[in-house]
Amino acid sequence: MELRVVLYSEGHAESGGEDSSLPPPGAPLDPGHLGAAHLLVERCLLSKLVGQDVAVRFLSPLRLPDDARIPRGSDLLKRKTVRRLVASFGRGLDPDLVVVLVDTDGDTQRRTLLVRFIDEPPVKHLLRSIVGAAQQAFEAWLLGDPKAADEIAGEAVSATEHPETLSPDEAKQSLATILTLARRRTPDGLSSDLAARRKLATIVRLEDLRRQRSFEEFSKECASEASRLARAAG
Amino acid sequence: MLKKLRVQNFRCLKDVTIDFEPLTVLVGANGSGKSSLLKTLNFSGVGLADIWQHRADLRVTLRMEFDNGGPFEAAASQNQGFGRRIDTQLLQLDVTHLRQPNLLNEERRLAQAGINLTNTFATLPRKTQSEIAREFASLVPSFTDVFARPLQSGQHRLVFQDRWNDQIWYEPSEVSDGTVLVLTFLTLRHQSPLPDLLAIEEPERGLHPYLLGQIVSTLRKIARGELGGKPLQVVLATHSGDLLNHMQPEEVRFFNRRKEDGSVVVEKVPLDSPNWRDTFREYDDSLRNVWLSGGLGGVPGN
Repeated sequence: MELRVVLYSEGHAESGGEDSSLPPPGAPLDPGHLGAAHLLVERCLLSKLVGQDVAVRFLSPLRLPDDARIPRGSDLLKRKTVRRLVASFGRGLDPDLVVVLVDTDGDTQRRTLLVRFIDEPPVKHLLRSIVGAAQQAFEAWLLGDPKAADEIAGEAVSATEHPETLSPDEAKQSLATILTLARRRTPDGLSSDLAARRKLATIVRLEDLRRQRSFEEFSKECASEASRLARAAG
Repeated sequence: MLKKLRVQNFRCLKDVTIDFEPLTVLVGANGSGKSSLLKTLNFSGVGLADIWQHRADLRVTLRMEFDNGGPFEAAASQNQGFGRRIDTQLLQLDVTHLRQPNLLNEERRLAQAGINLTNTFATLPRKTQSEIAREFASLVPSFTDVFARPLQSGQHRLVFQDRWNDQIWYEPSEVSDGTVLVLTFLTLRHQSPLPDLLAIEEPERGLHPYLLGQIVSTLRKIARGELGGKPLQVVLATHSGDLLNHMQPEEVRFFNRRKEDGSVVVEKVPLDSPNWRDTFREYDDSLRNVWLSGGLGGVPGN
């Protein structure tokens, strides 16, 4: 079976691919459209479905009516926007699951706020959804496996064992350093920061990332929701 | 009234069925098939370029259903003609053409781009012209009257009277695109003979957003026969979210192209879905917002 998923995240660095020209909302994304966050979310969704015939198909996100942008960053903290993203149009373009992934930037109530937006009535017509809130920043999640960081950088970079303690700026800077090394590696340097982020998202050990509580909660919810959807589909 | 149309093998319309209301609006990205669908309503012959994927072995077929009378079916291969069941007037109005003076001539139907607006207006009875002028002044309150003024060359051109100084008459080049378009829309229902169906591409061009509601309302009344005379069914094709906000959900059709082969799919607002009412409310009961979010299709990628 295929899980049809739409991901909304902080920005292009998280969910952008090399191909930045997205198809219309609801249409399937190609591999070139996928960013690091897509790959990490996919791994979380499938983590408890090993050996089962389940695949994740990401769909192109809805746009903001005012300017046709993809909702990102502070857009995702607005009640109206979040509720629209999880509203169902009752037609074939509806996804099975909506994933909203934000950075807390130190705001411990951010995830609670978003969940409250979604849970307000009328609940029964909303799509299934998961809200992930990276402690501080998404970059901290990608830094959660020091061995993977060394591997992609091509040298020991001494990534911190506790990236969730970094400020958002520190996490972004640490990751940027690793990505720069990954691009400069010879002879197999990665073509861009986006490519390096994606590569990192595919090799990090989820067990290591789960040492961060925010990731542990998110990955658990992803696995649980994917299993539920797989069971429902028979 | 045309209730349903099925088209097969015409341009990008591989196999499309669409329901119509008295007033219907087609919404979609550029190249989504809206114009092709409008074209099916009044074309009479099939060239190779009109056939799906330019395949000479295919026949273009049409099936029309009406609210009274039996269905109409027709099929044609390359270089063959179609019979016509309804009189459709297709308008792709061009404000440059609408402003042109006309060589004085009796004309009862507006041409596709509207180049004979002056003649069409001037051919109407004076009482009808006065009625149009009153409606026009209520929609565009900068003016109080409009008429066709003769020129020395045997031509005549429309002029518009200033509301605050009745000695001043403006020529078409001195008034806005929207002003000329409003007059055009008001003239349409007085054409003779009246077509069965009016198909207008991008009626919003040049119109102030405030006027769109009144224009849509006027077209809806014309379509329902509420302004007197027989109903004149109207089909619009638009890219305007502002116009869409003045439509009713059941009047909207979204055009999309299938990724696999580029064929067109037409969808309606899912009014029967239990989700629709709540979702529409989340979008502030705005068809513009719903459309531009992409949740119902009819938008391009970006």
